[in-house]
Amino acid sequence: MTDPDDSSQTPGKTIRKAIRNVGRLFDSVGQAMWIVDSGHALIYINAEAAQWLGQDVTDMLGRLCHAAIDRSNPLGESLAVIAPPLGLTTGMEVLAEVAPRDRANRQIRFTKHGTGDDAFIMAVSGAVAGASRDVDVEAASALRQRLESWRRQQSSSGLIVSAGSSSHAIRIRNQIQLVAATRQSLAIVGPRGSGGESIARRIHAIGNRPGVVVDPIILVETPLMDAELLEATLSPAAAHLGRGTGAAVTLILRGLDESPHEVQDRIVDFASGATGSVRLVGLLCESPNLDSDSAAKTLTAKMALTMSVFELRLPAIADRAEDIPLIATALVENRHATGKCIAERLSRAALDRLLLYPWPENFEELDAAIRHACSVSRSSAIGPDDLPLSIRSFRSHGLSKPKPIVATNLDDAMRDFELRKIHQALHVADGNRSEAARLLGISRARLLRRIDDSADPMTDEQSTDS
Amino acid sequence: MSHLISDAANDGGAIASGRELHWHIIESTDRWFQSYQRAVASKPTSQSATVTRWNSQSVVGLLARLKQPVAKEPAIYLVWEYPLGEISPTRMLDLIATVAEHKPRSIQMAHVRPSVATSTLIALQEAGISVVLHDLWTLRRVMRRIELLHGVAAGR
Repeated sequence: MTDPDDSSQTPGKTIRKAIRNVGRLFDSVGQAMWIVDSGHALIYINAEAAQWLGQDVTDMLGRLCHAAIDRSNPLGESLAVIAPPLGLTTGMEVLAEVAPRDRANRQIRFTKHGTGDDAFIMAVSGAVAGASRDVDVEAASALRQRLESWRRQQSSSGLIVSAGSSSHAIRIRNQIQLVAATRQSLAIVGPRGSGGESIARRIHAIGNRPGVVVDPIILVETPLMDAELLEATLSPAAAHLGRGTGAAVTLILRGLDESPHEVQDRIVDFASGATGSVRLVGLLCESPNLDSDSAAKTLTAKMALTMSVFELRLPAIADRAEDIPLIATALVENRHATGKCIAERLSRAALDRLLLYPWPENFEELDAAIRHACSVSRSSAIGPDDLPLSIRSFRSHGLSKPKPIVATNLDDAMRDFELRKIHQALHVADGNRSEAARLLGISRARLLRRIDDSADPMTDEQSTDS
Repeated sequence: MSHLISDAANDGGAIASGRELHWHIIESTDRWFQSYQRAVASKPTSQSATVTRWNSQSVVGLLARLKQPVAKEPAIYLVWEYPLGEISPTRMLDLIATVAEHKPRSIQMAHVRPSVATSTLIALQEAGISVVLHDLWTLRRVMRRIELLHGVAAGR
């Protein structure tokens, strides 16, 4: 970020001096107002605007003000939100709705004045009747704002995947920071639903280069591609890279290890032959294997080489169970903050249910479960009954799994069948023998006789008398 | 098992659920829907899949349907045509992003008219479009790939 004290080193020195001189006049205006110079530095912001954003004028002055800056702190968030729309030319006016987080939206009129290093963009809240407007730029501006909101949401989802205090969570966060600092291609290896795409978006958001243009991140469904489809899918990226001046693109390659080899090589060729920088993020189930000569290998030699430089391994969420309460709470808070649910937290009983569940579909399943719970919850705390049926009705069978029984004749088979039913009833009744007998429609004495006859230590250990 | 076709643009979107493959075609006319049906008709075997056509008016029903939790998640494929009626780029982005948020494993494809700005297409890709369809024939090739990946006749 630009050092406020070092403003003399950036373009637009003349205009900054002039603005400072009339600053007092602008301060008396009741509308929010700010000015950004040709180097994207915020050279003026009045008290009204700073108050609206919940920031201090002195903290903001001199900072870079564009959509691509780091939003991880409130100041960065505010500076990104008030960034002028792209594509403004001198004399052009654009109306855009600016929506700071947790603040009222305002209509802002952006106008560009001057040329070259002395150009600046003035932003004033409220529209002026009769002023000329460029509908195309306004539409593009609205699209950019919506896209920014979507990026923010996706990026915060990636932040949540890496939340927690487990060694896995710490490693994932460190790796994200490390790889985001470069333009290095990488492989994100993990089971289905482990949040690889959100992590990729997070890396992209942190690593976006400081400048005017926010580099796009493009999804490619690689298993469905052939040469022609790939060309059509990558053509917008190619057009963006063709702009030159260090343009960059990130490609998220979904299902890379299921994609045709021809497609993989074409993607590598596209990345290496592009005029700008292309970062490939492969989403894989298995680590790229450079040594395999097998015809059945999933990645081509070229792709394996590209993917093996940096590997970010995501474990199944069940393998980092200690992080589940934090992740689930973050998901609830995220939805609550965006006004999508009444609930603010998870009850202790609901958290216990989440910890018991094995999460075969990983982070995505947890996210969907929280989304469901938020939509049905009518109180400030999500209870077990708000969770999806599959989670609230899940019982761990690990301890009460019946031993394998081999029947040798009909009597044995009948006895084994009875025993299995008794096991199941005891499990449902949480080991209460009276309740189990009621469930089976037999007397408690008969149930006890059957247990004694079987002399099954599992049944004896786990059952209790009421 | 039968191939189940529904035209939500006309009937409000009532369709059986619980099938393995769910296709949703969102377009102003019925070109892509017809292309899908022709691809299906050319296959000798029969396998379960559902296809629903939506237009700019009925597409809200698609979102409502996809937001409903289901016990067993089907494979969901969406084909968007853009421009779609009077729908603005921001609304389109919202629709695609909402589907991506609620069904992260759905595969969203788009056919975009050549006159659409590159920046708009990139925005749609960022929101969740992962396959750009070149022309009607490319849908058939995609269906064939899905068939191979699923080990079933995807279009049925």
